[in-house]
Amino acid sequence: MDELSLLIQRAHAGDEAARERLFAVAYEDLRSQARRQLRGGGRNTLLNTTVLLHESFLRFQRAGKLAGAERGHFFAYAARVMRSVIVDFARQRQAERRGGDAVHVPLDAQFAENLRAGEDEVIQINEAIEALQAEDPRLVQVVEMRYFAGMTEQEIAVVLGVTDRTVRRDWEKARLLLAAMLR
Amino acid sequence: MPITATDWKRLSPLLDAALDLAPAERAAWLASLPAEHADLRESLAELLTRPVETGDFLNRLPEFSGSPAALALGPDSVVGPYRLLRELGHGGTSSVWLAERVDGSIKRSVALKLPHLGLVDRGIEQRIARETEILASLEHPHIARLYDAGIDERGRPYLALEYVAGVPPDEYCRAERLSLRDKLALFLNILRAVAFAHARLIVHRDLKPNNILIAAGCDVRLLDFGIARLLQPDTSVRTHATHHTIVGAAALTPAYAAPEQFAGQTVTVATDVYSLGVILFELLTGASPYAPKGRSLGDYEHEVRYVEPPLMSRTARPAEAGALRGDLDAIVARALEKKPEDRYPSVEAFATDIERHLAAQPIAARARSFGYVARKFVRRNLLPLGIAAATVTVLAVSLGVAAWQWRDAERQRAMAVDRLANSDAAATFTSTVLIEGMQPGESLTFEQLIARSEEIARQTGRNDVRSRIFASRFLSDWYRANGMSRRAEQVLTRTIDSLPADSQHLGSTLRCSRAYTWLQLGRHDEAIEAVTREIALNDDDPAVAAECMLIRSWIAANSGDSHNALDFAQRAMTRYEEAGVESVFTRSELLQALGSAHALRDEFAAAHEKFREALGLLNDSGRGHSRAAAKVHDDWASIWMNAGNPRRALEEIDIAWQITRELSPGSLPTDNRIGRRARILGHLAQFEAAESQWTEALDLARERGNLPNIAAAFIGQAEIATLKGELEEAQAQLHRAAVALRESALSANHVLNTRFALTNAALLAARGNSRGATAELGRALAQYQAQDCCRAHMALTLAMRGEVALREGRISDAMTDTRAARELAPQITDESFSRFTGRAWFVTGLVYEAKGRRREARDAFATAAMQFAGALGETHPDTLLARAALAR
Repeated sequence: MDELSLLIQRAHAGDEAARERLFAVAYEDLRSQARRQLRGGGRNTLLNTTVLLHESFLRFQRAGKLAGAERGHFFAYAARVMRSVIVDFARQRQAERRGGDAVHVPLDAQFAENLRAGEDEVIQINEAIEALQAEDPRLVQVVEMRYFAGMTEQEIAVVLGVTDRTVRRDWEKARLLLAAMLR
Repeated sequence: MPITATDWKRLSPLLDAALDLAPAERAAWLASLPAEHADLRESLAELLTRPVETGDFLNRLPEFSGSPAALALGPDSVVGPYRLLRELGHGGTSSVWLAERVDGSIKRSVALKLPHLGLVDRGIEQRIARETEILASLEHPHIARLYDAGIDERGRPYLALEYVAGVPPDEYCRAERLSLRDKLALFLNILRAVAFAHARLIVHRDLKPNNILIAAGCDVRLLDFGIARLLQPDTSVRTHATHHTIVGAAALTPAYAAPEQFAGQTVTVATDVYSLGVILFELLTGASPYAPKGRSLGDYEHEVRYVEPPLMSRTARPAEAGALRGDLDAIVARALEKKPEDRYPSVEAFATDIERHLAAQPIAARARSFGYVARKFVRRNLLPLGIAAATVTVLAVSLGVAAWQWRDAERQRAMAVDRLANSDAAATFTSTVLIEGMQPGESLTFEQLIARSEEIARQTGRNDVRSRIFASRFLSDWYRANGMSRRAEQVLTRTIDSLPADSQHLGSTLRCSRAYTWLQLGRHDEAIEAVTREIALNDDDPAVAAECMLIRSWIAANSGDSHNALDFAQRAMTRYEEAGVESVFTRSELLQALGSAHALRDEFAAAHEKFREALGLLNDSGRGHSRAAAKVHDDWASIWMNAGNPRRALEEIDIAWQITRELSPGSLPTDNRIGRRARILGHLAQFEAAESQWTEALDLARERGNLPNIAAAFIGQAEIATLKGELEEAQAQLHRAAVALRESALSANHVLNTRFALTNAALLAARGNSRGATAELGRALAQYQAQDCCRAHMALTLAMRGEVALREGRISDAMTDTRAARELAPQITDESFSRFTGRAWFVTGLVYEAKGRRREARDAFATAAMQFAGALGETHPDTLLARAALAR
């Protein structure tokens, strides 16, 4: 039996240290997978967070068994991990650009412009929900799962133990608020 | 006001309550908010207006893509069947590696070209499949082979090219210290290889020194033939971004690309001819034909598309200039013509001229573009005009050019002298008006500026005729822009009458300008007659002809004659390009005229494109914040209004406003612009703001005696009063409008007359006078029909008439009108919304409802609601009305 399934079993049995360790492993796993996906240059090199999340989940699933509640925690936590992975990535790219990779390549202008706008958006959204964390943690979770991890409303509803309709409403509110905050 | 996270605790439950309401009920709910939440009303209203705009907001994580730096390719990386050895080069679109086959089946090194993934579109797989075979068949001793191309298992495209060890031609020439003759011989080898590919219908598209390698023994190898096309997305594929750009079409090398590549036009063999011209220029002079202000694509685009390159002999070191003057100047100039059809028709023709030059025989380029060379010389060298003239004479005689060509050259020269004199006059004018008598630090008010200009325009002794003409044009433009057409006409007439008998030809542009003021003074037929005469008189001077044709287009547009508006704008553009004196301002004016003409024909997509182009042009040349740019935004706002989208109109006019404020912080906006903004606000149902702006516009218009604008303000106020249900007030305003309209003696079909009829009809309808309203709407329709324009406005008129008919119970009349309205209304696209379309569908819904066809009615209301929301905003009464109807 490998380390992972052992951890899952122990966590399942209520071992607090094992649970922490498990999440640390999940963090590492997602982070390295995301990096690989972004750097490796797959068919279209875009970060597919949904696939990433589900692949990671499947690896854990295969290794042992995630019971109902754990499954929910896993996704909620993974979405937070995903957010930090993505934000770190965007920041790093901004820093690289400021560092002035000296080659001026006008041809890439439009493409670079799109990327830059995307990175700025990610960082702004992150800052906005950071400010919101204390006031409305559930709204923040919805943004993490919906926006950063690309989960569906049904999936989020299961994780949070609320109805689809509540998730839809939260998401609508979050978008209205973020749109206003980002202006 | 910004919404912060701390407000959120209180806002959140209120927002829940609001979102539970139907959109139509929210405005009332907001208004009845208890006092303790009153401070949140504004924030809530702001949040609740977002849904349409935020339709796609945050629904997808932005794309993250591997940048060139993050690709992490390294020695020993495997791409498809190749293992990378070392990087040979790294450019804007791809990196190139020395590589060899992994399986060792073929023992040779290849140059493996790996396009940057972010730049590769999905179509590349098909293009590789389609074209690799053709390119692989291109076997020529001077062309590097394409061995293989494909997509590896990770989706990465690769191209395996023959590896050539060599240096670019410029480096080679320097290292080997080639003589002029040897350089030309080398270049001829390059031309022959290109000609070989052209004969197989393969255009290179990206010729530049780095794609031409010279191996030991002067062995020429051309790289990447046809590869640019393989890597470039089909240019017909546009992005959905509402603003500009075609992604991928920018895959060009700015310093060598031809004008048509920047313009996104068809690439032909002439494109390669152009790039070869640049390469030859650089080989022979050691310098680039361009001097861009910066290194951005826009800087280059401006140079390549609009700036005449210098003659080589003026750029080269004096020691080498002598040998370049004459034949070689002419040859390169011909290759560098801006228009593809003016260049050598083929690479062979290019090569033939060089061979003839080497053999000391007469060349083709010389005979053809002799006037061109002379002209260019004159244009670029303002001082030694006398010398230029002498050169022309000597050259013409010694070459024995045909008499007509000589006359042509002479005419060109005369025109160049003319232009120089004009620019001199402009400089004199500017320095006199702006600088003379001014203390350092003292600033000039606009009124003073006008007064000084008046002085120059009046004087007859001290200053030259041209300065007076310039001052008159400046003044009349300003007076006219501010509705003071009479003053403008006086200034122009005074100057025209005072022109000396021998300078009559100088008055053409003034006479055309005057014709335009005549139009504004109601002298429509005289105006057309005058401009038509000037156009005929100046057929041989493209610059003047273009100017008068532009005015002819304005005149046509002003009376709704969309056919002539477009026709003359197009002809003006052709003549302007022929004149060959490039000015971004003139070009943007021409584009605006084209765009406005398209809008008159309800070709809104084409209109928006022209305006976008005009703005792009001004932006790229650093004029994005000029008065001219403000004018483009202003006019674009009008186009959006005519397309029935006040929301976009407001965006544009506010940009114009902002630019003007930045340019002259203290200045007041004109009554024209305030009026336009007031009208937009009125249509957006922002009544208070609209009313205060109308008052402001009215005051200004009165101050300046601008009667049409006074009438417009009364009509605008009447419109608002009608919408607010203050019918007596509306009636009073319309009375005033009628008086002002009569005084301003506009043509019967003038837009203000139609606007008056529509407003009056709305008022009559609101008063329950259906018959009067129907008659008035019929009159408005007849006015539109007489004008061959304004389908969108006709749609609105028909929809209004249909609504009145419905109220009278004439259902089948209502059906007929609404059907016609739907046909005439702007097409429904995802990109733009129109209140005209919304109105047509809304009334359609009412008709269906009356007939008991509930499903059709619902569909129609839904369409109407969407159009209204997009064009007018989510909380606009029309939107709410449509939504309420939908909920019935």
